[in-house]
Amino acid sequence: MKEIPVPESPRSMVEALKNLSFFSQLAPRLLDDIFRTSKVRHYERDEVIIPEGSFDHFIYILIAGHVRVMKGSEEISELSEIGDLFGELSIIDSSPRSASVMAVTQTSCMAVDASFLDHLLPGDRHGVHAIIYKLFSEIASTRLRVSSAELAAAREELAIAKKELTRYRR
Amino acid sequence: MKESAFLDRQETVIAALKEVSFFSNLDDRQLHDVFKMSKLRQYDPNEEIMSEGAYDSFIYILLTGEVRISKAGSVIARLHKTGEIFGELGIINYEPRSASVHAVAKTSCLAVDAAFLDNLLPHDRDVIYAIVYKLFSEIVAQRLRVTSQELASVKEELARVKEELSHYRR
Repeated sequence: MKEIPVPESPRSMVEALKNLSFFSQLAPRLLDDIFRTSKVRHYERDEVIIPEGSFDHFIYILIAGHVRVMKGSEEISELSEIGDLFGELSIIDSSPRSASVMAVTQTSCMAVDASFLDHLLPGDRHGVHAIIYKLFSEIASTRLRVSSAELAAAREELAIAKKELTRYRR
Repeated sequence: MKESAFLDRQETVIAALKEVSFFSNLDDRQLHDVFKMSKLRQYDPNEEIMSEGAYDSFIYILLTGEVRISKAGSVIARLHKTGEIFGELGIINYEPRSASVHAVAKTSCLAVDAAFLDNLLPHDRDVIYAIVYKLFSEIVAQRLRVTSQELASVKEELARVKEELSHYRR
Protein backbone atom coordinates (compact mmCIF):
# COMPACT_ATOMS: atom_id res chain seq x y z
CA MET A 1 0.00 0.00 0.00
CA LYS A 2 1.22 3.50 -0.84
CA GLU A 3 -0.21 6.35 1.16
CA ILE A 4 -0.26 10.06 0.42
CA PRO A 5 -1.82 12.56 2.86
CA VAL A 6 -4.55 14.44 1.01
CA PRO A 7 -2.99 17.89 1.62
CA GLU A 8 0.18 16.65 -0.15
CA SER A 9 -1.75 15.32 -3.15
CA PRO A 10 -1.84 17.23 -6.46
CA ARG A 11 -4.39 20.05 -6.45
CA SER A 12 -6.35 18.39 -9.25
CA MET A 13 -6.72 15.27 -7.11
CA VAL A 14 -7.94 17.28 -4.12
CA GLU A 15 -10.51 19.05 -6.31
CA ALA A 16 -11.71 15.69 -7.67
CA LEU A 17 -12.09 14.33 -4.12
CA LYS A 18 -14.20 17.33 -3.14
CA ASN A 19 -16.69 16.28 -5.80
CA LEU A 20 -17.32 12.87 -4.23
CA SER A 21 -20.97 12.62 -3.27
CA PHE A 22 -20.05 11.89 0.35
CA PHE A 23 -18.88 15.51 0.68
CA SER A 24 -21.48 17.22 -1.48
CA GLN A 25 -23.67 18.42 1.40
CA LEU A 26 -20.86 19.63 3.65
CA ALA A 27 -19.64 23.22 3.79
CA PRO A 28 -16.27 23.83 2.01
CA ARG A 29 -14.86 25.13 5.32
CA LEU A 30 -15.50 21.70 6.88
CA LEU A 31 -13.93 19.86 3.96
CA ASP A 32 -10.58 21.54 4.58
CA ASP A 33 -10.64 20.22 8.16
CA ILE A 34 -11.65 16.73 7.09
CA PHE A 35 -9.08 16.58 4.30
CA ARG A 36 -6.25 17.60 6.62
CA THR A 37 -6.36 14.17 8.32
CA SER A 38 -7.41 12.10 5.29
CA LYS A 39 -5.19 9.99 3.03
CA VAL A 40 -5.19 8.68 -0.50
CA ARG A 41 -4.15 5.01 -0.44
CA HIS A 42 -3.14 2.87 -3.40
CA TYR A 43 -3.38 -0.92 -3.19
CA GLU A 44 -2.04 -3.73 -5.35
CA ARG A 45 -4.22 -6.60 -6.54
CA ASP A 46 -5.18 -8.99 -3.66
CA GLU A 47 -3.85 -6.61 -1.01
CA VAL A 48 -5.87 -6.40 2.22
CA ILE A 49 -7.37 -2.95 2.81
CA ILE A 50 -9.22 -3.77 6.05
CA PRO A 51 -8.58 -6.96 8.05
CA GLU A 52 -11.65 -8.45 9.80
CA GLY A 53 -11.50 -7.97 13.59
CA SER A 54 -9.13 -4.99 13.55
CA PHE A 55 -9.81 -1.54 15.03
CA ASP A 56 -9.28 1.75 13.25
CA HIS A 57 -11.23 4.94 12.60
CA PHE A 58 -11.20 5.30 8.82
CA ILE A 59 -14.11 5.40 6.41
CA TYR A 60 -13.08 4.44 2.88
CA ILE A 61 -14.31 5.90 -0.37
CA LEU A 62 -13.45 4.02 -3.54
CA ILE A 63 -11.84 6.29 -6.12
CA ALA A 64 -10.53 3.68 -8.60
CA GLY A 65 -10.54 -0.09 -8.91
CA HIS A 66 -12.64 -2.82 -7.38
CA VAL A 67 -12.87 -4.37 -3.88
CA ARG A 68 -14.27 -7.54 -2.39
CA VAL A 69 -15.83 -7.75 1.09
CA MET A 70 -15.14 -11.07 2.84
CA LYS A 71 -16.38 -12.55 6.08
CA GLY A 72 -14.15 -15.50 6.99
CA SER A 73 -13.63 -17.26 3.68
CA GLU A 74 -16.99 -16.21 2.20
CA GLU A 75 -17.43 -13.25 -0.11
CA ILE A 76 -20.38 -11.16 1.03
CA SER A 77 -20.22 -8.30 -1.45
CA GLU A 78 -18.24 -6.43 -4.10
CA LEU A 79 -17.88 -2.72 -4.77
CA SER A 80 -16.66 -1.12 -7.97
CA GLU A 81 -18.38 2.25 -8.36
CA ILE A 82 -16.42 5.44 -7.84
CA GLY A 83 -17.70 7.02 -4.64
CA ASP A 84 -18.76 3.71 -3.05
CA LEU A 85 -18.33 3.91 0.70
CA PHE A 86 -17.09 1.11 2.93
CA GLY A 87 -15.86 0.70 6.49
CA GLU A 88 -18.68 2.81 7.94
CA LEU A 89 -20.08 0.09 10.24
CA SER A 90 -17.20 0.27 12.73
CA ILE A 91 -17.58 4.02 12.82
CA ILE A 92 -21.31 3.84 13.50
CA ASP A 93 -21.05 1.55 16.51
CA SER A 94 -17.34 1.77 17.47
CA SER A 95 -16.85 -1.98 17.02
CA PRO A 96 -14.05 -3.95 15.42
CA ARG A 97 -14.16 -4.49 11.65
CA SER A 98 -16.96 -6.95 10.87
CA ALA A 99 -15.46 -8.06 7.55
CA SER A 100 -12.26 -7.93 5.53
CA VAL A 101 -11.95 -5.83 2.42
CA MET A 102 -9.44 -6.75 -0.32
CA ALA A 103 -8.43 -5.10 -3.57
CA VAL A 104 -9.53 -7.25 -6.54
CA THR A 105 -7.57 -5.13 -9.02
CA GLN A 106 -5.20 -2.19 -8.51
CA THR A 107 -7.33 0.06 -6.32
CA SER A 108 -7.23 3.56 -4.89
CA CYS A 109 -9.26 4.79 -1.95
CA MET A 110 -9.65 7.92 0.05
CA ALA A 111 -9.33 7.04 3.74
CA VAL A 112 -11.27 9.62 5.76
CA ASP A 113 -10.36 9.88 9.43
CA ALA A 114 -13.81 9.65 11.03
CA SER A 115 -12.68 11.16 14.31
CA PHE A 116 -13.67 14.50 12.75
CA LEU A 117 -17.24 13.54 13.80
CA ASP A 118 -16.22 13.85 17.45
CA HIS A 119 -14.26 17.08 17.07
CA LEU A 120 -16.77 19.35 15.40
CA LEU A 121 -17.49 22.81 16.76
CA PRO A 122 -20.74 22.90 18.80
CA GLY A 123 -22.41 24.99 16.08
CA ASP A 124 -21.55 22.46 13.35
CA ARG A 125 -22.12 19.27 15.26
CA HIS A 126 -25.83 18.59 14.80
CA GLY A 127 -25.90 19.74 11.19
CA VAL A 128 -22.97 17.52 10.18
CA HIS A 129 -24.19 14.55 12.21
CA ALA A 130 -27.63 14.90 10.60
CA ILE A 131 -26.07 14.68 7.11
CA ILE A 132 -23.52 11.95 7.80
CA TYR A 133 -25.70 9.66 9.91
CA LYS A 134 -28.59 9.98 7.46
CA LEU A 135 -26.19 8.90 4.73
CA PHE A 136 -24.83 6.05 6.88
CA SER A 137 -28.40 4.89 7.58
CA GLU A 138 -29.21 4.89 3.88
CA ILE A 139 -26.11 2.93 2.93
CA ALA A 140 -26.47 0.40 5.75
CA SER A 141 -30.18 -0.11 5.12
CA THR A 142 -29.64 -0.71 1.40
CA ARG A 143 -26.97 -3.28 2.28
CA LEU A 144 -29.22 -4.86 4.90
CA ARG A 145 -32.01 -5.30 2.34
CA VAL A 146 -29.61 -6.93 -0.10
CA SER A 147 -28.05 -9.18 2.57
CA SER A 148 -31.45 -10.21 3.96
CA ALA A 149 -32.65 -11.18 0.49
CA GLU A 150 -29.43 -13.13 -0.13
CA LEU A 151 -29.74 -14.82 3.24
CA ALA A 152 -33.33 -15.88 2.52
CA ALA A 153 -32.27 -17.24 -0.90
CA ALA A 154 -29.19 -19.04 0.49
CA ARG A 155 -31.32 -20.65 3.23
CA GLU A 156 -33.81 -21.87 0.66
CA GLU A 157 -31.04 -23.28 -1.53
CA LEU A 158 -29.50 -24.95 1.52
CA ALA A 159 -32.84 -26.56 2.46
CA ILE A 160 -33.23 -27.98 -1.06
CA ALA A 161 -29.63 -29.26 -1.14
CA LYS A 162 -30.03 -30.88 2.28
CA LYS A 163 -33.22 -32.64 1.15
CA GLU A 164 -31.42 -34.00 -1.88
CA LEU A 165 -28.55 -35.14 0.30
CA THR A 166 -30.93 -37.06 2.61
CA ARG A 167 -32.32 -38.92 -0.42
CA TYR A 168 -28.83 -39.99 -1.50
CA ARG A 169 -27.86 -41.05 1.99
CA ARG A 170 -30.84 -43.37 2.39
CA MET B 1 -55.69 -4.32 16.62
CA LYS B 2 -56.79 -1.61 19.03
CA GLU B 3 -55.53 1.86 18.36
CA SER B 4 -55.50 5.00 20.48
CA ALA B 5 -56.10 8.43 19.03
CA PHE B 6 -52.97 10.50 18.49
CA LEU B 7 -51.15 10.78 21.80
CA ASP B 8 -51.68 14.46 22.25
CA ARG B 9 -52.82 14.66 25.85
CA GLN B 10 -52.11 11.31 27.41
CA GLU B 11 -49.59 12.55 29.93
CA THR B 12 -49.15 9.25 31.79
CA VAL B 13 -48.31 7.33 28.63
CA ILE B 14 -45.95 10.10 27.62
CA ALA B 15 -44.17 9.96 30.97
CA ALA B 16 -43.59 6.22 30.48
CA LEU B 17 -42.39 6.68 26.91
CA LYS B 18 -39.76 9.17 28.00
CA GLU B 19 -37.97 6.22 29.56
CA VAL B 20 -37.52 4.70 26.09
CA SER B 21 -34.00 5.48 24.89
CA PHE B 22 -35.23 6.65 21.49
CA PHE B 23 -36.72 9.70 23.19
CA SER B 24 -34.24 10.40 25.95
CA ASN B 25 -32.34 13.00 23.94
CA LEU B 26 -35.36 15.09 23.03
CA ASP B 27 -36.69 17.99 25.10
CA ASP B 28 -40.35 18.18 26.21
CA ARG B 29 -41.54 20.31 23.34
CA GLN B 30 -39.85 18.12 20.72
CA LEU B 31 -41.28 15.01 22.40
CA HIS B 32 -44.72 16.53 22.34
CA ASP B 33 -44.39 17.13 18.61
CA VAL B 34 -43.40 13.50 18.05
CA PHE B 35 -46.22 12.16 20.20
CA LYS B 36 -48.77 14.27 18.39
CA MET B 37 -47.88 12.12 15.38
CA SER B 38 -47.96 8.80 17.28
CA LYS B 39 -50.52 6.14 18.10
CA LEU B 40 -50.58 3.41 20.67
CA ARG B 41 -51.46 0.09 19.03
CA GLN B 42 -52.28 -3.19 20.71
CA TYR B 43 -52.16 -6.54 18.96
CA ASP B 44 -53.33 -10.05 19.76
CA PRO B 45 -51.03 -13.08 19.37
CA ASN B 46 -50.33 -13.85 15.68
CA GLU B 47 -51.85 -10.61 14.50
CA GLU B 48 -50.00 -8.94 11.63
CA ILE B 49 -48.39 -5.60 12.48
CA MET B 50 -46.65 -4.94 9.19
CA SER B 51 -46.91 -6.61 5.80
CA GLU B 52 -43.95 -7.32 3.47
CA GLY B 53 -44.24 -5.22 0.31
CA ALA B 54 -46.68 -2.68 1.79
CA TYR B 55 -46.07 1.07 2.02
CA ASP B 56 -46.73 3.15 5.12
CA SER B 57 -44.99 5.85 7.08
CA PHE B 58 -44.82 4.39 10.60
CA ILE B 59 -41.82 3.48 12.73
CA TYR B 60 -42.69 1.11 15.58
CA ILE B 61 -41.33 1.09 19.10
CA LEU B 62 -42.02 -2.06 21.07
CA LEU B 63 -43.50 -1.33 24.50
CA THR B 64 -44.65 -4.74 25.75
CA GLY B 65 -44.86 -8.21 24.24
CA GLU B 66 -42.86 -9.89 21.50
CA VAL B 67 -42.78 -9.74 17.70
CA ARG B 68 -41.32 -11.93 14.97
CA ILE B 69 -39.98 -10.59 11.70
CA SER B 70 -40.30 -12.79 8.63
CA LYS B 71 -39.31 -12.60 5.01
CA ALA B 72 -41.09 -14.77 2.44
CA GLY B 73 -42.47 -16.93 5.26
CA SER B 74 -39.20 -17.65 7.09
CA VAL B 75 -38.51 -15.96 10.42
CA ILE B 76 -35.41 -13.74 10.32
CA ALA B 77 -35.56 -12.12 13.78
CA ARG B 78 -37.48 -11.76 17.02
CA LEU B 79 -37.70 -8.68 19.22
CA HIS B 80 -38.91 -8.58 22.81
CA LYS B 81 -37.15 -5.72 24.60
CA THR B 82 -39.00 -2.55 25.53
CA GLY B 83 -37.77 0.28 23.36
CA GLU B 84 -36.69 -1.90 20.43
CA ILE B 85 -37.41 -0.29 17.10
CA PHE B 86 -38.64 -1.86 13.89
CA GLY B 87 -40.00 -0.60 10.60
CA GLU B 88 -37.20 1.94 10.20
CA LEU B 89 -35.90 0.51 6.91
CA GLY B 90 -38.96 1.53 4.92
CA ILE B 91 -38.58 5.05 6.29
CA ILE B 92 -34.86 5.46 5.65
CA ASN B 93 -35.04 4.68 1.94
CA TYR B 94 -38.73 5.34 1.19
CA GLU B 95 -39.15 1.76 0.05
CA PRO B 96 -41.88 -0.83 0.58
CA ARG B 97 -41.67 -2.97 3.72
CA SER B 98 -38.83 -5.48 3.32
CA ALA B 99 -40.34 -7.97 5.79
CA SER B 100 -43.55 -8.80 7.67
CA VAL B 101 -43.92 -8.40 11.42
CA HIS B 102 -46.36 -10.35 13.59
CA ALA B 103 -47.18 -10.23 17.28
CA VAL B 104 -46.03 -13.42 19.04
CA ALA B 105 -47.79 -12.67 22.34
CA LYS B 106 -50.16 -9.86 23.23
CA THR B 107 -48.11 -6.86 22.14
CA SER B 108 -48.29 -3.11 22.37
CA CYS B 109 -46.32 -0.70 20.21
CA LEU B 110 -46.00 2.99 19.75
CA ALA B 111 -46.47 3.73 16.05
CA VAL B 112 -44.69 6.99 15.26
CA ASP B 113 -45.66 8.61 12.01
CA ALA B 114 -42.30 9.37 10.38
CA ALA B 115 -43.91 12.24 8.54
CA PHE B 116 -42.89 14.17 11.67
CA LEU B 117 -39.38 14.18 10.17
CA ASP B 118 -40.66 16.21 7.24
CA ASN B 119 -42.67 18.63 9.35
CA LEU B 120 -40.00 19.80 11.79
CA LEU B 121 -39.32 23.44 12.48
CA PRO B 122 -36.06 24.47 10.77
CA HIS B 123 -34.57 25.14 14.19
CA ASP B 124 -35.24 21.55 15.37
CA ARG B 125 -34.41 19.81 12.16
CA ASP B 126 -30.64 19.31 12.54
CA VAL B 127 -30.85 18.28 16.19
CA ILE B 128 -33.61 15.73 15.61
CA TYR B 129 -32.13 14.40 12.37
CA ALA B 130 -28.78 13.97 14.10
CA ILE B 131 -30.39 11.99 16.95
CA VAL B 132 -32.81 9.95 14.85
CA TYR B 133 -30.42 9.04 12.05
CA LYS B 134 -27.55 8.23 14.41
CA LEU B 135 -29.92 5.85 16.18
CA PHE B 136 -31.19 4.42 12.88
CA SER B 137 -27.66 3.86 11.64
CA GLU B 138 -26.76 2.06 14.89
CA ILE B 139 -29.81 -0.21 14.67
CA VAL B 140 -29.26 -1.00 11.01
CA ALA B 141 -25.51 -1.51 11.47
CA GLN B 142 -26.17 -3.99 14.28
CA ARG B 143 -28.69 -5.91 12.13
CA LEU B 144 -26.36 -5.85 9.15
CA ARG B 145 -23.57 -7.38 11.24
CA VAL B 146 -25.85 -10.19 12.38
CA THR B 147 -27.22 -10.80 8.87
CA SER B 148 -23.74 -10.83 7.29
CA GLN B 149 -22.55 -13.29 9.90
CA GLU B 150 -25.49 -15.59 9.18
CA LEU B 151 -25.10 -15.18 5.44
CA ALA B 152 -21.43 -16.20 5.66
CA SER B 153 -22.25 -19.28 7.76
CA VAL B 154 -25.18 -20.39 5.55
CA LYS B 155 -22.97 -19.97 2.46
CA GLU B 156 -20.25 -22.01 4.10
CA GLU B 157 -22.68 -24.80 5.01
CA LEU B 158 -24.16 -24.68 1.51
CA ALA B 159 -20.69 -25.13 0.01
CA ARG B 160 -20.09 -28.17 2.24
CA VAL B 161 -23.45 -29.77 1.35
CA LYS B 162 -22.87 -29.13 -2.36
CA GLU B 163 -19.42 -30.66 -2.12
CA GLU B 164 -20.88 -33.77 -0.50
CA LEU B 165 -23.70 -33.89 -3.07
CA SER B 166 -21.18 -33.82 -5.91
CA HIS B 167 -19.70 -37.12 -4.62
CA TYR B 168 -23.10 -38.82 -4.71
CA ARG B 169 -24.02 -37.43 -8.11
CA ARG B 170 -20.98 -38.86 -9.84
